[in-house]
Amino acid sequence: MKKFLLSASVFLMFVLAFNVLLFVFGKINYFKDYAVYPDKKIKSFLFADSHGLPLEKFSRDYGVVNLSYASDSYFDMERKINYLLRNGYKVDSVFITIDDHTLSPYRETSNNMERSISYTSTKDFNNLYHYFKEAVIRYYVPLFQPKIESIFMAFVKAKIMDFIRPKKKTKEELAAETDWSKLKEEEKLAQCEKRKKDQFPSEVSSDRLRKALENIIALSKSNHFTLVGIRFPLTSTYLQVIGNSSYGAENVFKENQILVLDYKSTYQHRHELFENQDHLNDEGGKLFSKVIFSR
Amino acid sequence: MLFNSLDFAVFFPLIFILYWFVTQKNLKLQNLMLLLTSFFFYACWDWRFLFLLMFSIFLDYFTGIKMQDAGSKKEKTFWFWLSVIVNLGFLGVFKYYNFFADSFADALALAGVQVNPWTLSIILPVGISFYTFHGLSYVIDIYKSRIDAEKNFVDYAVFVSFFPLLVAGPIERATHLLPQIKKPRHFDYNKAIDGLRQILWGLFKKVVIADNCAKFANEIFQNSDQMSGSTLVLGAIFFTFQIYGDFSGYSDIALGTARLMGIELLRNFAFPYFSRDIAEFWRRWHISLSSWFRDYLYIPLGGSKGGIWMKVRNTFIIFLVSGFWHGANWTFLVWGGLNALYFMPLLLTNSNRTNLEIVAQGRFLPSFREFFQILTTFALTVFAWIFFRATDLHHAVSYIGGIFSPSLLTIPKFEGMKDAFATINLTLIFLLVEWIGREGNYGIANLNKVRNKAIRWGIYFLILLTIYFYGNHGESVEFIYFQF
Repeated sequence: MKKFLLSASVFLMFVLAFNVLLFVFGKINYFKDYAVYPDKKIKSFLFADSHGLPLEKFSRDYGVVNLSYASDSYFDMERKINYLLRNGYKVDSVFITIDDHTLSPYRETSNNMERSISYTSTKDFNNLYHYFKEAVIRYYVPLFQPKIESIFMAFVKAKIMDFIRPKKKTKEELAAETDWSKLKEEEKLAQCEKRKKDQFPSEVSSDRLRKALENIIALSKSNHFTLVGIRFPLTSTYLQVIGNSSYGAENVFKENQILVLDYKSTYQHRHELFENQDHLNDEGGKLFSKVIFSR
Repeated sequence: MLFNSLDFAVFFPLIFILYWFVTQKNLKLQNLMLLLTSFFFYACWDWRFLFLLMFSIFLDYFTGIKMQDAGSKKEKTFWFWLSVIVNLGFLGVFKYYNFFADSFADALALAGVQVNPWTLSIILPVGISFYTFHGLSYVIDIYKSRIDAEKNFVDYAVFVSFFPLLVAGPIERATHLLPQIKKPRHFDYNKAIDGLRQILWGLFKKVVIADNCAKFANEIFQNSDQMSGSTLVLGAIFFTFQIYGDFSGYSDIALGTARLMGIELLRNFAFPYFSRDIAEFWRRWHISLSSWFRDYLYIPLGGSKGGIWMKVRNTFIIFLVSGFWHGANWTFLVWGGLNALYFMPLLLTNSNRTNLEIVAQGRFLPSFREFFQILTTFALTVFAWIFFRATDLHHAVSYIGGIFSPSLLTIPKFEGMKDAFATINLTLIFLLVEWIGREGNYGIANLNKVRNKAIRWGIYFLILLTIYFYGNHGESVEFIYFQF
């Protein structure tokens, strides 16, 4: 047994060394910058996915902390709101995205659950073991963390490919780097089609995300803060491509008689305010911050 | 709790420590610990079905003792049939009731009588077919006076519920496993290392081969009406490797886990895709089930002792029952029937026991004739798997119809084709490794003969990295055989 334990320990040391490498990589490339713990004097918060990011620089001017992050889901937002409520923040108002895609099944898998774990406590899990597994083991042992694996793999592949054969940019990549307003109509349409395919993969919405959204509504009622739903602006091209596609987060708000600020088509023809088909740029973010936060 | 889950990675080391460091000096305590952990392992799926498992264990334990103590043949027979009927009754209710109710209604509908059958909305208790067969072999062996009834309840319960084999086999025999449970186990360094190596290979088969092939097989089977003939062939081949990687991977992990605890389980797979005929394939695929049917069904039916028609009848019976064991669907019955048909030429020409040893023993390459035989057997197997994988007979027939179309000669194409190349390459490498290691118990068993530790460990590390980087961790794919 001694020999076995010794051999196993030595082998595990190599595995551990690789794990440390992954951990450091994950810390630098994945977890860094996600968790933001705002000043406790702040009472208003914005929660959204990447659509909320252009408002980052401007929301503070109106006393609102922007806790949006690319790919954030209602699971992540629920964790963040719970964190604020449990940690003595006097939450007064919460602005939250209710865009058409937010209840999409793709968001159920493509989200920040691994990162928003930093906002959780044992209370967010059924039992201590579950918390230990998700918040401790998966964090410190990225060997059990598929997200880090895919990011690390992509990183290594890119480095190898760059070394072997510096890659020429594809048509799509070049288009993505060009100002949205300067793109040709067919390029805009192509980007919109691709985006729609990602955001609306099926007709059925995610029940789990709907439940998380309902939990957020319940939190607003039990903790007496004002919840405001926001529909972020889209370009006319994207509006035309998605048509009536929607997973209906807006309806959940309307059924609960919660205020909805619908700016989906307000700037549709002002393409100069957009980074791409469905994301505002800095200029758009500045304008939109003023519109929603200074009402 | 899946073998390839973080839960198991936490669970097993704890059990290993308890087993070897806390309870080893007291066999009774060690077995009790094994029983409780096995129950816990099972309860992780659905604690309610734990009571069904406990009842099944208690029934066979109790009827076993009653048969042993019976004063007359009649009394012994009574307890035997009670156990058989209750065991098969549970299996029938949970697994087959809805199938029979629906089939009966369909048959009446053909005669113009419409009925709405009363069906049960129940889920299938995981592993029920496996532990029922465990129990059945035990009571049959006692009834046939091959073994004595086990008096120690804990030992018997461990025999049925030992966690590595509980949910998907191998289907053990009391004569093989019970003696190991009853005597003290001693830690053996070489066996423990071999166990770890087999677990590693099992994980590779499951996570890299099976789960990656599953993605593409699912996509092709689910959209089979839009696929070209060549793509459908590729889909069937993906499923062929999915089911092998999945089930033999599970068996490797189960055997390796048990070996780490000083227990040897029955071998379940022996490189079946290198078989030269269907009879050899069935001696190498799911060996514990095939031998179960041979010993408890085929031989009692007369086996191959009678005339030619009796042999044919018995062969069809065991293949159809084997198909039905897999699930309550006509597709499994056709799959079983098809394999019986494949078997017929061998049976009728008395050549079903020609290829008993592994192919090309002592040589690296097979002869041209052997290669052709392997390819033919493989093609027949792939064809039969289509029925196994299809959702119903209509799907299977339309899938096969799609294959035999002019598009069979085109280049396979489907949405995920670009991603499939990595899986195809990994599968080819996997086949090569299995070919090289085919004279061992599992693909990389012979690595222990590599004297240089650095090379050996380098290979282990490479396999681990392949599992990490190329494994399908994105979605939790359950082991296929859990549903049986």
